[in-house]
Amino acid sequence: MTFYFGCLFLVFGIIFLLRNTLTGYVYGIISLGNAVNLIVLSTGGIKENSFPFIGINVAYFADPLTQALVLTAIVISFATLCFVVAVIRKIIQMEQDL
Amino acid sequence: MIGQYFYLFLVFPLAAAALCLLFRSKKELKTFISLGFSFLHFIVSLLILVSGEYGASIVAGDWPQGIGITLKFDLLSNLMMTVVSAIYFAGSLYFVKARTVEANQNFDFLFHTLFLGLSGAFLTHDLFNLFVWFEVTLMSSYVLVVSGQNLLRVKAGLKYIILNFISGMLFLLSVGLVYKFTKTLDFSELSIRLHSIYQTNPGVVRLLGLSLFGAFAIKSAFFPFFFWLPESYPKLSPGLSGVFAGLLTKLGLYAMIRIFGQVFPADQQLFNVFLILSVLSLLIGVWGAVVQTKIREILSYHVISQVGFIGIGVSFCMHPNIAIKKFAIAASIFYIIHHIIVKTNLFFIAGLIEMREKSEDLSTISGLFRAYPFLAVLFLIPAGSLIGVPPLSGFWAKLNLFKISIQARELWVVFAMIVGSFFTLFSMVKIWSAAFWGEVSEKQFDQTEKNKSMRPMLACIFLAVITLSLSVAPSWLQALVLEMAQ
Repeated sequence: MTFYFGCLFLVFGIIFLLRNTLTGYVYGIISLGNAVNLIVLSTGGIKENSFPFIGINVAYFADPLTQALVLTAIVISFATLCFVVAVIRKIIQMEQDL
Repeated sequence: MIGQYFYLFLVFPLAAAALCLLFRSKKELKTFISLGFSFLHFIVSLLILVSGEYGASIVAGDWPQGIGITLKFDLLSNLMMTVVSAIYFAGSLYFVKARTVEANQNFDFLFHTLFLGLSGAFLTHDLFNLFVWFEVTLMSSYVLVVSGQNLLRVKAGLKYIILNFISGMLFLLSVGLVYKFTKTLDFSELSIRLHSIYQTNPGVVRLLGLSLFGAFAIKSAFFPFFFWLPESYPKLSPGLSGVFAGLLTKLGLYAMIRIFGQVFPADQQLFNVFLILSVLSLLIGVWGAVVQTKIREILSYHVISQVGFIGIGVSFCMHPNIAIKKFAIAASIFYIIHHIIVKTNLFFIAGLIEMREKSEDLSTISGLFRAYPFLAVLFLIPAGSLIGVPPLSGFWAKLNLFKISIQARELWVVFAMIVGSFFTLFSMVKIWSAAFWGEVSEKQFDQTEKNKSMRPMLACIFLAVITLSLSVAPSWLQALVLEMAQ
């Protein structure tokens, strides 16, 4: 399920970015970043009610490494999103000044 | 002995960045910090290379090998680190005066974090960690690209950010897929598992290779994805475009050599795809350069064609014949080292011309040879080297590529490279005949202007000396890259 949602967002992201407008860029980055995060998360498996403690049988819990990877990736894509929003604001201001 | 302290390559740029942030209003002190730390970076890297004490490694957090993130300083890292720190030092020298062009007060901080990301990318032996260092580099480059009050530059910068974001996400997606199929991200462990998967299911390995190639191809401006490069680089300030053109596209190529040369199993089909894309970017790059009229736009298109040349070397890294594969790794690294120095130097010199002439359009510049004969000679060294004129370093780099193509019986690649070199020569002659020959225009011979740009000139001389020493004694570097490929 997570994987299919990821793919859906991936398609949305590509469509938004192809629209080539300033708001399209923002929506595109949001969708694309989350899409990739969901897909990477799904590669580790999603399981309920289990925690990765040392000593418990591996089969009971989801792979914690992909979750760690996604945590880092969320920070990076969110930072890029914030920066793009700031740049777009600057472009709009500069166009008004002209 | 000294080889164990390779983590200093992360400490130097980080310390310099922190100090520059702390003393952001003190210009002289920032200059001193930048020059000092970048010089240390260069000297330590060169010392380790000369003493032959590379190969030390650290696994972060005392995890066992293959689980924790490995930082390893092998010969490939050492060669790349040395050439990048040469650009680091030259860049610090060049920006001493050119810094006033940059409106951003945090310019030095970002300049150092850029090199922090590059150093990290060369040290790491972990696929996800490589992604993180890529993003550190790109994040600094994003801010550097869009700072300034020029609307065209900011708009081009936005496209640069979007394109690099897409490539970053493609990289992350590939990392996720690689982890799904192999359950490891450490390069040495990954190599073993990918080879065993390749025995039973080559299609999966091809898919992973293609998606990683796509991510790096966008970053290094390969054929279908090169449009962002000539759009954004010429609009940056001259020194910055030199550092970017020299290093950022080559970061993607380094990652390709590391991953396809050392981690992935050789594969005929991937080899064919890579080779065709490389030859196309080689030809389209030079044809783009022929029609441009501004110096830095011509040079930007040359970046694409040179990426094509290196890409040919990278493609042969996927060749099923093991002898050709090993020689191809050596040849690509030789070409990258030669190219980084030459390309940055050409952009720096274009910046010097621009600072003096207040223009970079070839129709308004003329007579530079009479006005500044020294600058003209300085331009000839990297320009000739880029074309591949015999005694210069570009000739030796291209000779290696010719050798592999003939060994692998791909003669059409040799033909394409000859055509590419010819058109490179043609567009260089265009710059030379328009800007350097002809009558001197009156606005030159401004003595105060001449004194001002003395220190940037030192950076160009420094890089030209490296090019010349590679030209005179290529066998030293050739021996090192061949040792690395074994």
